[in-house]
Amino acid sequence: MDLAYIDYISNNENTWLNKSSVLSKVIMAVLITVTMIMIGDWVKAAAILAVVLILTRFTGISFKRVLYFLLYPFLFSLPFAVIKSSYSITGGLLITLKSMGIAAGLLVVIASTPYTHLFSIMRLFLPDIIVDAMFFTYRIIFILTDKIQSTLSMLRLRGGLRPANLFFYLKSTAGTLGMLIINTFDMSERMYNIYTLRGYEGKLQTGAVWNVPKTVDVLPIFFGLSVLLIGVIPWTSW
Amino acid sequence: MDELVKVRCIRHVYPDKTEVGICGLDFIVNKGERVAVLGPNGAGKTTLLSHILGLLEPVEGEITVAGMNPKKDFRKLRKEMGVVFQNVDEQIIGPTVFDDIAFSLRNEGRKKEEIDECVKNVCMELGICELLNKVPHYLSGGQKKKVALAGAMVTNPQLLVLDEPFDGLDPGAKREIMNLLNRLNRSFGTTILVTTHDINVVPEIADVIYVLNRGHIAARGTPAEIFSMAETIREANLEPPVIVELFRRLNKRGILLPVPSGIEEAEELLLEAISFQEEKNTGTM
Repeated sequence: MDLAYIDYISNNENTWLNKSSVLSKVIMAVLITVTMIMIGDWVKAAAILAVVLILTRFTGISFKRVLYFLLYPFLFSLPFAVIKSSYSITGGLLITLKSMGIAAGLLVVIASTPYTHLFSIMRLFLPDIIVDAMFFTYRIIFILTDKIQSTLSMLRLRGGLRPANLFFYLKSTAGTLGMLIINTFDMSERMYNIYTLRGYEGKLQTGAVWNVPKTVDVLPIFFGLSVLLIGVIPWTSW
Repeated sequence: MDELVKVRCIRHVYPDKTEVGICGLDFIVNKGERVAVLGPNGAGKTTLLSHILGLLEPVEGEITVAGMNPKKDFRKLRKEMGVVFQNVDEQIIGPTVFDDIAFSLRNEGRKKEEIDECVKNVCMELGICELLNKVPHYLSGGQKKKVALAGAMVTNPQLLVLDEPFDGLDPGAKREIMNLLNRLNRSFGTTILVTTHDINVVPEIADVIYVLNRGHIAARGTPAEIFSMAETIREANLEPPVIVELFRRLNKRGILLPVPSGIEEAEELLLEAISFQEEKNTGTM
């Protein structure tokens, strides 16, 4: 499961990216995103994507995996790129490069920051209840994925999945989905009870995120600013 | 002995109108005791624990923990209780083992240095220091149980409640958890309340056993006392421990030995019987 892999990487790698603060990495991601949105030149977009791809090497994710993750933004942006291509081919290319560049920037942050720290930063602009809900949803996905896998295996073993018979297939899949939803409600209630017993009172305390700034915190901001400079400085004047 | 938990004939109605009553004998847990609740699936074990933990409120009956009502005084009592639920995956919340163990301490607003020290101490006690930086999702079942136990123990609770802690564990992991619980009880005087349907582990982890059968507390006693009540055990859909069954069969064959409560006692009894027989044989020869 990709989510589990990213979770593992973010907690176990020990690169300078992992050591730098969440805030500096979020600022870097914002700078990359802003730059990518502003850019109107596909060459610049390709250059920034290449630079961000180099940065992903410091997260500990293999290059093959990074490319695999970037397939999602590529595929999702493809329809828009095709439409745009009817007017200009470079315009279409620019759309896919922009989406992949932004996704790569976010991947760097997600893959180098434990999720509790990421959610903590969201408290700056989102209500606690929303952040906690996101946190619990994230946690529940891990448990549910295992459950879904075992339910699907069981369904297959008991002959519940017959792709050839569409009606039967849809019926048993819908039934399983319904059962999973009920199970999820039950599970979320149990989990809430457990967390209450462990001291949860409406706001998750997620450890020290606001540490004293270190030298290593400057690096992501410096990187983000460099990307911004590449994006905004007109190359033709050089 | 000081009473820590007292439950007297409670009845609970679940939202789907399922009614669960726990009546019969009073359920009493004294401070420093190791208590096991034995019963088949659906006997009401988890309902009983949920009431003790203050997660459910009975429609009838009396329940006190440390002299307080667990539902009304939930916040006060929460700090006195550590819990390990049957499915530890639902209990573990932190992205790393350290974060998970520190969860309750952070919620109490303790200082970072204090949290670090408490987590370190409990990890040393449970022998899981090498797991501190690991992601809980990738741990084995036994390791997850230990992490959940560490999370429950880190606040130094008076009462440690464990719902089916040996479920799904291999014999080695089961033995480790049993040893840990006994050590916690001996070293810190922690009161331990365990529910289980694994009758074979009970003599090793409990001073007192309650037998629960379809919402009825059918028996209370020491392991030896409970194991001598063969009928009560069978009525509760449980099988007596193998060693007890062996001695009962020997009794039927005329070898009259008292029913042992555990393997050590059985060993002693058999050695005594064998040496007595040898002496008898030597005397007659």
